[in-house]
Amino acid sequence: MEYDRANRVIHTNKIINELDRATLEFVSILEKHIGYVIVSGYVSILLGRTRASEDVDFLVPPMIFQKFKLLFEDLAKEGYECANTSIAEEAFGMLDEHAIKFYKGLPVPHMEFKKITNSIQEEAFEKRLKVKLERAGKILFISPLELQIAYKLSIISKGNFEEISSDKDFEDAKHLYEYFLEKLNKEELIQYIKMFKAEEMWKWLQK
Amino acid sequence: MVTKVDPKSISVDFGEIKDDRMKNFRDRIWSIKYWIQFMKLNSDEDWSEGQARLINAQFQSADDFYTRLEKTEKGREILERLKAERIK
Repeated sequence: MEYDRANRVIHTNKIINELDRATLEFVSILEKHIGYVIVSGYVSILLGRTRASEDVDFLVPPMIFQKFKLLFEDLAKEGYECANTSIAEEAFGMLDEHAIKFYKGLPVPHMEFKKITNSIQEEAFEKRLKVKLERAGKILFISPLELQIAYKLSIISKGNFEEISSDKDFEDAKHLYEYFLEKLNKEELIQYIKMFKAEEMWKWLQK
Repeated sequence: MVTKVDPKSISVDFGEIKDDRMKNFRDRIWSIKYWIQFMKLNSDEDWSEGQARLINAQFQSADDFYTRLEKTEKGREILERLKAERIK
């Protein structure tokens, strides 16, 4: 796996697993309609972390209802079910409040679809990285690694040992940090750590 | 014959629990670092084969669970109830 930081692309020749396959299939429909960035746990899994996940989290820019309806119908045509509602209007209304979930066949894994509503999410979208899956000949867009690490640390919150000792978010951050240590933009990472007020966790991460 | 234990007679050593958690935490961090070394020293094909085996087995297990549910009337009722309970 090679991270070409200058061109913001990670090349990998990994064997495609079932979670990757489900994600690529969903993305092949999604990207016909709108751009996206993948955030949270699947980013670490895509890049080698040895754990499964029930969901893959997508952030998408705001869109008008007509555009969303076409996507919703396209997904339904390809066999996806929306776990929240089968009515496009209702699903669109829910996007202001929370993520909506799509799945095909079984409810796991499901694809969580969320509208970008704040500047951190905008940053993730604007600075997204390409992950080129050579075997599949496909590309996935993920959140920048520095932002991903800092965000994962921030959601553990308090920074005490009791909280991190059994936390998958901390371990996801540790995985990305250890693998990409030499390639990370340290200045940017520290900025994000400060922005998220995750300095205590940052100390633990470096141990 | 199972000997019954009076819960009042059990004393919990919270210091020991904390020590265990610290040990588990260190073990997991060590495992992550070990895995990263393995990834760096081996080809993508090698490390991802292990990852795929783990992830695919978990999805196969979920698949089997739902298939079993669909085979019985009670199971189908549970699935229907889950669908009906989806967030509105």
